[in-house]
Amino acid sequence: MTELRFHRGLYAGLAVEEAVKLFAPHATLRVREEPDHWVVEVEGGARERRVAGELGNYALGLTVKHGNAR
Amino acid sequence: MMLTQIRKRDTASQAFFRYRPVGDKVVVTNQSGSFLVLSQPEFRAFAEGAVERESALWTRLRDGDFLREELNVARASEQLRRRKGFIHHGPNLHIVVVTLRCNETCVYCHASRADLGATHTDMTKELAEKTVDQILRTTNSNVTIEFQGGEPLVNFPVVQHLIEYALEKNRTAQKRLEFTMVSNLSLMDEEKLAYLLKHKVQICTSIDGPEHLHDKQRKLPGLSAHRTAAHWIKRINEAYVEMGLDPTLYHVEALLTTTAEALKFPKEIVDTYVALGCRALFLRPVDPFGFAEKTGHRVEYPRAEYMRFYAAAVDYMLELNQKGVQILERFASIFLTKILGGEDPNFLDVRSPCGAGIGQVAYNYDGKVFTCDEGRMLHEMGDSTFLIGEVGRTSYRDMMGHPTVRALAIASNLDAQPDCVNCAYQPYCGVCPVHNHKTQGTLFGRMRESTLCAVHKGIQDYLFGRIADGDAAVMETFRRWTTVRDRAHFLQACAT
Repeated sequence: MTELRFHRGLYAGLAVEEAVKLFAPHATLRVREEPDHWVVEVEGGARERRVAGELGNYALGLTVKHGNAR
Repeated sequence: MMLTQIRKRDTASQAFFRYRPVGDKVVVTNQSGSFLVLSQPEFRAFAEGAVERESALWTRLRDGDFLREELNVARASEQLRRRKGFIHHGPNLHIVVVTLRCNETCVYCHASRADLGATHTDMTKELAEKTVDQILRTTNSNVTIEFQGGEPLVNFPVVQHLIEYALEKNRTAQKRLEFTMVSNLSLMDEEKLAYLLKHKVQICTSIDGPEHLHDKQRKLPGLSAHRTAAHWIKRINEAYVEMGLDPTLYHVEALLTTTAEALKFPKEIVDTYVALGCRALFLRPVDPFGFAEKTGHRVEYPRAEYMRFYAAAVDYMLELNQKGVQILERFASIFLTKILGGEDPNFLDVRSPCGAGIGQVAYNYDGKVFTCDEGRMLHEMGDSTFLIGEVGRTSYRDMMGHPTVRALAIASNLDAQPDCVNCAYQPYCGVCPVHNHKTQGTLFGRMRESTLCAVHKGIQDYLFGRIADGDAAVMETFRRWTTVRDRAHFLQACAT
């Protein structure tokens, strides 16, 4: 299992949500909220690391595109 | 010259360039980091595409890859590759905070030091071992372990244990391993010094200028912090000579933290460093981290005042160099290595992308791991945004691929940073997203209001102004400041 921790001060919640929706068909994704982070657990066998990496990049790209975190 | 004065007769002849007026000249740079200092008529001719073919100016422009038709793509690519050689290496600087305890109290303490009784802020030997295991997993073949605090000499047994454990583990890891210690030196004694010399630990300290200034800012109960540090600088430098090491290369490095009070003493500060036998002076402005946030009203200043101080100090250093005294300013050396040398010295705070996570990692006394020292400093102030894991629990891969590390790499990439992308100094510069986050509430920052940008731009304006003057003696000194000499003695031997 790979855990991605998106700090709320750096990442837009909508971006993380959208990235999770997009990558949901490729791995088992569980999302939970912590006071400072959105945490995404990724389980996907051989493709797990790649899916986690791409999901992270996608969430970052959307955050930059939206122009702000939170 | 106003841009509106440029007649757009031909915009097809120039290759990509950025420009910035400096005095009565114009500095032009391109993507691969070449630069030219042009007079205003020359710049106008260039911008208007009216440079006569085969003229002296045309030749300069061609040789610098500023002309589209003459652009040597292979050469430009190679220059860019050389400048960005650090990108794929992984973190080489590993900062280990062995304790937060410190026996000095500094008005600007960036580290949020703890009192000597706060033993719960000491790293344990067990955690030190796990930290070393994590450090040696780096993909970089060069590893520098830097002991910081607090005051690392307060927890010297753990420093010793960590060194010995790292040397043992490095028999297998085979890294080019170095140790550095940042210490106020007040707890140094002959026994500790003998150990540090034997284990080739490079020693770095803080000197805030002449005694009256240093002791005003750095309080050592019952003693003069300056006299104590000066005594040990002299003793350590003598020890290097006794070991047969070249004193021009091997000596204690010292750092200045420039406060509002320091701005009054540019020459005295330089003289103090020269008298102590230092060959380099790093005129670092105060940062907004740690206690400096609370004491900002006393230690902070407008950056225009800092730039006047900087110019006065470096002008004086250049005068001294012409009289045969060898002293360099570290910021100038970093920028000049990029400007004149075409190389990146891999100073992690002034590179693109910055070193956070991908060039350096900071390990706290409690096992928490941060993207960089600044991120660790913010944590001590209650903001844990830059926490990327915990020693023994988070894998190296997960730390490097952490969403926070990705965000910092993107935010400090000057090819995508608003304002920086159009700045003539873009090939040589760097931003600190943690500084942006602390001062402006955004990783990306707003450079027009950034004090860090004001300093970086101001220093490069100063340097290009001196380059534009074309004084042969100054240029000779500048070239000497770009010469990086390896200090091979500090490299630990790898067993085979």
